[in-house]
Amino acid sequence: MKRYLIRWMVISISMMLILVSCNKFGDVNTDPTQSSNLDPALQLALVQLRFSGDPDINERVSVIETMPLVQQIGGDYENRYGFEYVEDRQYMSDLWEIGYPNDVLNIVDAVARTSNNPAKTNLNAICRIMKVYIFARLTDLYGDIPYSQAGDGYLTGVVRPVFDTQQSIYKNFFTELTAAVAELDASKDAVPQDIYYQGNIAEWKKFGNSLHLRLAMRLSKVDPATAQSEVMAAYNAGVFTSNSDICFTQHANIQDNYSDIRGNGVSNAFTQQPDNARPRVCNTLINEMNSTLDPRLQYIARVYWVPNPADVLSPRIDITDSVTAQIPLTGVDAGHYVYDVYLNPLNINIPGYGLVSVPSDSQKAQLGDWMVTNDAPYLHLTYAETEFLLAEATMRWGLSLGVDAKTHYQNGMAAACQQLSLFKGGPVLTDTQIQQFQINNPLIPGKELQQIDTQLWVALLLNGPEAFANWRRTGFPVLTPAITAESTTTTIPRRFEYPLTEAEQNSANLNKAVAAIGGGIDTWTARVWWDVQ
Amino acid sequence: MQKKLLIKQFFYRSFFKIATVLLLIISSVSYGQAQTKGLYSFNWQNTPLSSVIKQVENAAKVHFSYNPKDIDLNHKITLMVSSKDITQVVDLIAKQIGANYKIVGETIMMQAIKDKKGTQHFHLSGKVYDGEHNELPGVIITNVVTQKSLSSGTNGDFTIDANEGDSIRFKMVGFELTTITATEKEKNVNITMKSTSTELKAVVVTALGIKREEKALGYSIAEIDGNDIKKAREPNIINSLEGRVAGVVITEGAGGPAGASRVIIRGNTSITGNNQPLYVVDGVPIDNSNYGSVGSSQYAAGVDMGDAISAINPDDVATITVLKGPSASALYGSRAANGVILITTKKGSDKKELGIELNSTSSIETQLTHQDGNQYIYGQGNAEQLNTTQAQAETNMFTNFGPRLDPNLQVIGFDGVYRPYALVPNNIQGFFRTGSTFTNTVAFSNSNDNTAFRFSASDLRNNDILPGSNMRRSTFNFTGSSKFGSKITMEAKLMYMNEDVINRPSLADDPGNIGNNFIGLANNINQAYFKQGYKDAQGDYVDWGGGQYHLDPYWVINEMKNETTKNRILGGVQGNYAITSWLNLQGRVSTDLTYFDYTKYSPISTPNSLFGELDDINQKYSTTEADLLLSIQKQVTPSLWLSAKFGSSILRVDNPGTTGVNTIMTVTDVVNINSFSDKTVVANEYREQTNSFYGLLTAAYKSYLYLDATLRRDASSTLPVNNNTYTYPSLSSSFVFTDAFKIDKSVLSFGKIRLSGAEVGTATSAYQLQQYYSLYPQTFNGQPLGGIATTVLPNPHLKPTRTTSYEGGTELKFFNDRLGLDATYYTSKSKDQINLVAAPYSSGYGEQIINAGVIDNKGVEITLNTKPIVSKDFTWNLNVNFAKNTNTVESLAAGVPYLTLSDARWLGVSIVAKPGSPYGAILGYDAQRDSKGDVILDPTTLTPLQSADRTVLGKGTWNWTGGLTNSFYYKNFGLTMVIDVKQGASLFSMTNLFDVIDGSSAATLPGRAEWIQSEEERQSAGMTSAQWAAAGKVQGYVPQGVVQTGTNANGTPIYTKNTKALDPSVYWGNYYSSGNGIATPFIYDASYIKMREITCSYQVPTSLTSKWKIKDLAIAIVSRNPFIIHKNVPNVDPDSNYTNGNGQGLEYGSLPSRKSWGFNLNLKF
Repeated sequence: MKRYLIRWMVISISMMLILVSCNKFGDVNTDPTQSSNLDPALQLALVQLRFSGDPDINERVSVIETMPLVQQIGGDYENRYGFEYVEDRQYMSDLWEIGYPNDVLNIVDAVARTSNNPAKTNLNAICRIMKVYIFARLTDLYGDIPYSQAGDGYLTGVVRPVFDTQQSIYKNFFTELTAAVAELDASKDAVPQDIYYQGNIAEWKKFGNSLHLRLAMRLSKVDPATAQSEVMAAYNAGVFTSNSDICFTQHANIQDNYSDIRGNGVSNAFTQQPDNARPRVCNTLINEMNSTLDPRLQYIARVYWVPNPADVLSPRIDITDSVTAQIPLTGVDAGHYVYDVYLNPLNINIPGYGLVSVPSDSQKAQLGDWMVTNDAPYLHLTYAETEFLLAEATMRWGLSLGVDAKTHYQNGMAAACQQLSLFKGGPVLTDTQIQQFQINNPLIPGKELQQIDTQLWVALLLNGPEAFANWRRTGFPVLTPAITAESTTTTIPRRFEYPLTEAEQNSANLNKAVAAIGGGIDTWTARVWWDVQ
Repeated sequence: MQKKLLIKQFFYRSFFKIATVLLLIISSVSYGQAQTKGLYSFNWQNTPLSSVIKQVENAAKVHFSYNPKDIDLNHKITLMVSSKDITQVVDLIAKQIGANYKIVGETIMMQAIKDKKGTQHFHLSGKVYDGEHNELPGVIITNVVTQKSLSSGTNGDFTIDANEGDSIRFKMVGFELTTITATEKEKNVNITMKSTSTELKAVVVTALGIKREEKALGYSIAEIDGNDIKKAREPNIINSLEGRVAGVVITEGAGGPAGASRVIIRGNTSITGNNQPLYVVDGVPIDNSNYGSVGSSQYAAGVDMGDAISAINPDDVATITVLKGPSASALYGSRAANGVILITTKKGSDKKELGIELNSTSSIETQLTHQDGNQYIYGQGNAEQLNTTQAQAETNMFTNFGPRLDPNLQVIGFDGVYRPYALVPNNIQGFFRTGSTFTNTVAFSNSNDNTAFRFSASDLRNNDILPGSNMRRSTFNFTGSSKFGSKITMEAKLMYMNEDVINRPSLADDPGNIGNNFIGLANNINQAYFKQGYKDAQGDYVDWGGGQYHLDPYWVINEMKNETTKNRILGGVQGNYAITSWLNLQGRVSTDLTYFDYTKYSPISTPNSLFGELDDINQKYSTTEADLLLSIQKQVTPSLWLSAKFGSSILRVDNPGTTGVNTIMTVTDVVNINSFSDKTVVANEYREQTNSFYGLLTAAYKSYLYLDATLRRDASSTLPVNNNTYTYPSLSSSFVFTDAFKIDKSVLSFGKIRLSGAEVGTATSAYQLQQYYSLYPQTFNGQPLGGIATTVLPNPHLKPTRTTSYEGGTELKFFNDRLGLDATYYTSKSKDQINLVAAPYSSGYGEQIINAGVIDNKGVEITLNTKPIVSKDFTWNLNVNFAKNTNTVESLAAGVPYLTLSDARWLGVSIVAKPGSPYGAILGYDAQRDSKGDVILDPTTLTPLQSADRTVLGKGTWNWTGGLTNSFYYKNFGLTMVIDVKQGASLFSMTNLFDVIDGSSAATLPGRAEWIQSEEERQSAGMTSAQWAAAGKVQGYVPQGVVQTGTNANGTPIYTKNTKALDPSVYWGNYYSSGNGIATPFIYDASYIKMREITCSYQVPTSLTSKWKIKDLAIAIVSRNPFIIHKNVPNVDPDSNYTNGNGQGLEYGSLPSRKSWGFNLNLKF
């Protein structure tokens, strides 16, 4: 009996000891579905695609805010925030609140994990250029932002990063771009994961320098001396020389549903809407292109009739020619909804549908469908832009940048026309058309900068943040603020307000940045550092 | 069903074990002959024999025959008889009084064993043994006649004075009461006492399944009888507890009958973690995952996929015990920090005969809440004008700022058709249907001396009031136990549940949220129009005016589809080895396994999924638990009883799953993954393990003073290796002062004081310590992409959270238990909270996980059980419970102003934990106010100006909750009513916000008639608006508040009361513009009083049922939520939180809640 008992006690107690002695759990707390050490090149590819593929950021930044702000599109309720200046901090916050924890976090991590690694110097250099590109969009829209300590929460433990001044950020941009371009070496590691240039190192050098040029020109008013020296440095290092250098993302034909990044995020903001909710072309753009007899206008602004304008998938029938045969090409006025100016219905014979009464809204021009397909290329930085910037720099400061301002200007016009052929179904303009366009628009003394930068504004169509930045910097094209009863903002907004989340979670640092804003108030009518009067 | 599961090749080894044991048990059941005689239960405490005889005669329709001089009718009988036949009953009585008996027909003849005159005094001596023939010390031995007591010695021996024929009683905790009749012929006796698992006293199941006398507990518990909740049923059993238990707050959300409920016991103890209790079924903790909800983000959307507790079939429940404080639950470890709900299922051992029980409930469901806060006077239009063009009519379909409705007017519609401008009565109500629920359960049970089993099968079918939304749930439950020899007992149970829910309603900001999408629909537009108009000739979605974020409800219910299936197996084996009478070893293995599958189909042309989408979530939830428990108990001296238990357990959670998103529907005739050309699958797996060791020491002194002490040590896999173990104690005591001081029981029949204190440690969830990367689910033109997958900044230095709690209470019973009072005061404090804290996005992470923050709860719970009327035919029971809990956030991490628990979609409202404020404070913008507190209005729009900062405007947790249960019994009729009272929480109702903006709310009525009249007068006067205004003749809505009319010399503004009137449609249109507007008017007092349940039952008399060979037949008319007695929130049910997470207090586009009326039939054979 007793032996029996002792045996049981020994067994049970030893079992318990075995059970509890282990406070080591092996890999139980390691997620078996995720990696602890992913190839940084895949992070590069991710942030590259996200830049123009993220549907939230691109819809909010481009289609809702910046494109309407510079009066390229408008008229739809969804983008009244931009065309009627309805102040919505949340829409302005998405770039920050989605961009920092995705784009910034990954590129900072990728740069850190490729630094001081002789086997990844090209990858490191490309990541550094990409990092500048990502931060440039952020600082240009917000002003002073966390930069030197941003995205560092896990790497260094800095959870509340300081805000760097835009001035210091730009200074570092130039240093970084110069160093990164110098680091690039075609004989070193290949970066086939790169989705911009498929690892073409020569193109990356040109892209780094062209980006350098774009950022240098940003300082044309606030710090002309630095602007000039950096323009010279960029130019001398070798910028884009033809449309074959254009940096673009050829998106996939995917209709995004806010969780996919493969389609073009800007296009998606158009294509997800039924016809009656699509933005229309702003008359500011139509009038400007009309006044320059721009051969692109007939392709860019099109009129569509849709059997069921409430059905996204309803066929879209191009009736531009029938409409313009009866009335002039019409878009929407700045600050107006598509239905604000009423046009009498037009009777148009549409093959397959017979004689159709086309209502007012349908008569207003939209961006040509070919421009906003889901697989449309997103043009990050074009040769045309480079030429216009060189033309401006030559004009502004008399710098010696290869050829004269007029040639740069004309090169820009030609390149801007030709780049449309990158789009599937986009027009291929003939040399004759382009030459006629150049002849029609010679540089007029005293108006050169306006002409150059207005052309750049047209060339930057669909690149809202860049068009917005260039307009703020140069004041061209000359835009009349759209004053409406729906907003108390009576001047065209000039920056994005900081997110409420940042104000709450990083208040000490943010307050310093806000104090540095002219007027000391975080408002969208204030100016960023480089945007001086 | 098993085949299907085998195909899924998951079978755990433990399941084989369970199956084997089940087979053994089934095969060893000997189907004892069913006795047709009645079974009787009595509970006599010091009851005179005369009364005992009377009761038996009444109950069994028998007659006792005896010689009154021979039998002492004043002999006090203390005996509990449970389900025994008459022969056994009489036998037990006869033993107590020392009599012989004989049963002849219906007559029981009784005769004393020996004539009292011849009694002789002698010493009866002997030894007491247990079932294993071990000597049993400490047994209380009483001569029932002389009332002298003593206890057996260390080797079980005793000697007691006796007279011939005296009853000698042997009593010891854990053993059946044994009585012998002393006779001089046998002066030396050996007594064997049978151990028992069923106590004779009020026994409750406590932690680890340990049965305890209720009076021994040093903490407050609450018990609900399974029979109370099986008639008027809820699809989710836990909702049946609403209003019944003090301090248990159950919140039904907006998810409907298949949705999850939030259960909070004594307040929230974790700021951002899980606050819901642990569920333990028959001693084994089960998984209570929420399978998915809409979340707490600003854009919260999706469906509520229900919770795990809904799998329990009420018919299988014997009792539900709520262990409220950590002391009650200290032994279950971390998961029990929020309390424990113990569910004890029915076993087969209750009856000695074959038992078949049928329970059937059929009910219909209709809308409980209606749009009771809206206006039905004005219809579609803007600026009080009738639409004149189709284009205009298309833009304001969801605007009720038109002119006064007039059926004689014809007005153009959004489709170009002219219709009368008339009110469509009960318009939105017409969308819903009458729901129905059918529940049928059949249970079989059987037992003999060695083996018992119970099997039940249940089927639930529910058609929700939302058309196309259905639920079917089948549950099979088997429990069995068997004794192998005298020392080994095996118990096994297996539950299988299959649930299929079609079309769970989409909630909150989901484009498919029907409740949201109908908000503001003009009073003259018939919702039924869209029945046809939602798609065009190609079958494509047609925008109905709601845009891409407000889908046509008919498209949602007819074309889109979501389906959830759950297959759950809960199985366990338990073995007991009774080593000696005082030493027992128990081992258990159990597994809880759920296969969860969710698919959501959006056909081609659905906005946001234009080319078709099929989402597919497959998740397995498995929890495996193994434990060992060694119990030692000993009656050390006659007055002191000690018990010690040592246990250890391993808990392993492993939940692997995949999420698939399939887009671009290429094959259009089959809705299947194969039809989609773009497929992505992402895998996930959640794992954690806890190893524990625990001990429990119990001391009982003279059955009135009890002391419990526990100690537990957990090691959790989720914490850093060097800091992953934590130990915590508890101490509780109970003092029955009425017994100790021998207080006269005629007034105070029972009185006890409880005191306890405990600590519980809590770990965190898995994978919080390091950063992870993952591939982007798709490739881009063949190029893989990848990035950091972690979204919460990891923290390698986490340590466990500690919750310390104290409670004191008393339990008093008066007037022979006619009045019972149970009161408890408790405090608890949780520190080193492991919290998800917002981080600035610029750090790369929107959240970080840190140890910071202290949260505390203080509260009282009072339960009053009364029997105001007890008479022969009529009884009235009135039970009242009340609980008040104050849940305060003491502190958070330095520099963290508050933690967001959930964000509202609109007006910048958040539910937060903010130091110094109650937990779940509602943070939002108030109106700016002048020094007098008047609202400052915008000088132009006259809308209130938004305050600069968000302030606390309310809270989402209740001040106090209570319940009132009235039960009336008249003969065979019973009527039970349960009233549920919740007071003091607020609800931010975005339904009402949009009802106001759209002009649907009755709050937008003031000034409309005046404005219309003013405009008519202006036009007939031929004046422009400016001239009219200049003439000061404008009438309309005059917003309450002040406007700035200048500044004084110091530069401070001067405010003047507003007298200006304006067009109410313009005013309300401006009231909320994007990013601006104040939340205050839409934060309602959510307090309510609801009639939760009415059950009207009739027990068919046995005289009738016995003819039909039915043992027991009861029918009942039942209702759940028949009506709301009082609420303050217009248009919606105050119980309409769309999330069941911590961020309570937000309502958005809720569907009407449901009431049910039905019929219940209960049959026992």
